Amino acid sequence: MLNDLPNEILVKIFARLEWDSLKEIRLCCKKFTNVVKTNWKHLREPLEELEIVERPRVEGKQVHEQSAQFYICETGKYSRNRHEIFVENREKIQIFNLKVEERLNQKESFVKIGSENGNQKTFIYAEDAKKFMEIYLFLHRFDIIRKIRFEQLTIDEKMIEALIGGFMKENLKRIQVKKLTLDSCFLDGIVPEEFHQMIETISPKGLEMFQLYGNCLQRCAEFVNQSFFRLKSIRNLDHLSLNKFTRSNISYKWGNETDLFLGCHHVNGEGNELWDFNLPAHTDLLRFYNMNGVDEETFRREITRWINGERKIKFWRFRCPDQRILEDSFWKELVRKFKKLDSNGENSEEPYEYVKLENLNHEKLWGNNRNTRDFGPRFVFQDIPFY
Amino acid sequence: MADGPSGAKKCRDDDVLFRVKSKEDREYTLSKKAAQLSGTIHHYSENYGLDNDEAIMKMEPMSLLEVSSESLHHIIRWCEQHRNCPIWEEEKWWQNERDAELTKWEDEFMAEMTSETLYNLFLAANFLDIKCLLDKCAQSVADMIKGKSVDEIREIWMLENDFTPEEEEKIKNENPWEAILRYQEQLEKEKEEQASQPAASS
Repeated sequence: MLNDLPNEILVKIFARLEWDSLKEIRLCCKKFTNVVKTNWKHLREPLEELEIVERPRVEGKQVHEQSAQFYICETGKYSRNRHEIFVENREKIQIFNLKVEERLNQKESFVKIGSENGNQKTFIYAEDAKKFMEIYLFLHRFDIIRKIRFEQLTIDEKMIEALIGGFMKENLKRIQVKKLTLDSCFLDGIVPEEFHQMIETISPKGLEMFQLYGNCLQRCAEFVNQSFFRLKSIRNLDHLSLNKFTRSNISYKWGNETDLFLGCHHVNGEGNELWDFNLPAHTDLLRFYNMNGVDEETFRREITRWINGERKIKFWRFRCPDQRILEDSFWKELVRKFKKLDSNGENSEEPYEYVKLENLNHEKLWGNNRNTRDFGPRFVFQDIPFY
Repeated sequence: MADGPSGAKKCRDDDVLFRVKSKEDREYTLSKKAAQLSGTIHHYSENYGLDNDEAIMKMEPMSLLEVSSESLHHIIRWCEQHRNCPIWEEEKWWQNERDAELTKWEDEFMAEMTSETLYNLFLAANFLDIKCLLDKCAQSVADMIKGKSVDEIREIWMLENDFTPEEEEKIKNENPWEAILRYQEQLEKEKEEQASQPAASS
């Protein structure tokens, strides 16, 4: 009887089934197998954002001082080996609680749903990576998941196996991810071949941005050199971003017309110099003409040319520590220039209306938000179009 | 036929009534507002100039040859109950809001249905293009499927197992993701082949 229903009605029914039931219904008759197979996209909504980030590290790992404080704060709150799903839209949380809590929490004791006071986030915790994937797959059709985060990747080999073997291979290709962020800990957990395989597995459809966070180890550069840049050439991604890679790590040869960069020098809490730069492969980005990474001299020269009206910059974004801005005349001048643009922006005859200057003070940056690995306050100029 | 859950709304005396006829040639009326929930009736009204109260009052009954009297009875009850509801969001159905009273009524309404009446109601709602009822039916059927084994689902919904034992074994053992991916890859390959054909021929 049910198989006499038109396919579009069956799709409506199947879209309301969780994964386990969908697997069962597929086995009922040939028509159902076919409907599931051919209408898969209607049964699963594209994921808005997938982010895999680093969570508190274990003892014995070298961590930066300020980051370590952050870790200590967080470890009291989250146990190891837990995976979270964030839901950041309050309206949808209502649906979330109704639909998910009733159906999952009662049955599955390992699933806990909670929310932070005054915060528009709801968390789901599951201690089993495989189960987490199933919950996630069930949830994401509701279009309520903004971020999916995997924590403690560095300490749990089984979880890494689950991620690489189960989630990445099986699901990333199927799920359309708009933005994918991988933190350095993810790279710590796999070998370059696995990373390469994972990148090859990601569905190019719908992927608009790929961000990769490295650390100061040469090992991370291997990933970039061996695999990451293939994304640009193979997938034609509009936005490609590398963060926290030392310049010496990168051996990629930029062409003279390569669109890159942004970046600036900063010093971390231990006095180590780090280079923090992004390489968004956007056609309108500030073009740099150096061949091996980014150096401050080139950066200064190009900025000076821009200040003198000798070149155009359409989009750009960079970060600079406060101290440098206070002490260095180049930065002082640059910030003064931006402030002027910022304050005059709207009424200026010059087309600077897109200028946005954020002076993030220490309290603002660290006060309530410790979900950052940045090392201190800095000026942030983000994606500002200039003509 | 039962009148349904308590507190059901019915046509009022001052309502402008829309006339419909089931496949058994039995005539029913429903208020203009309730009738507007149906996309099919809406199109019919546009095509037959039923755009004012006077025209509706003079109309001949609209024949619904695919809808049984029993289903039509249930459909009218549903539409009268929902006639003041905001437009149903079909794409993001989970965002539609219902007050607790209406949700209770809907649940009682659905609880009356056997699998057979639900099946017929589903088809009727599809024919009449009543989105909120379609979604409720889909949810009810899905709820009846959840947690059931393959054999139980087959039994409830009278499904014939049309797999050969070999096919059944193969499907049971295969990774569903892989099957879906294989199918998608095949589709993409076919698309690419189709796209390359005109270029090759030119």
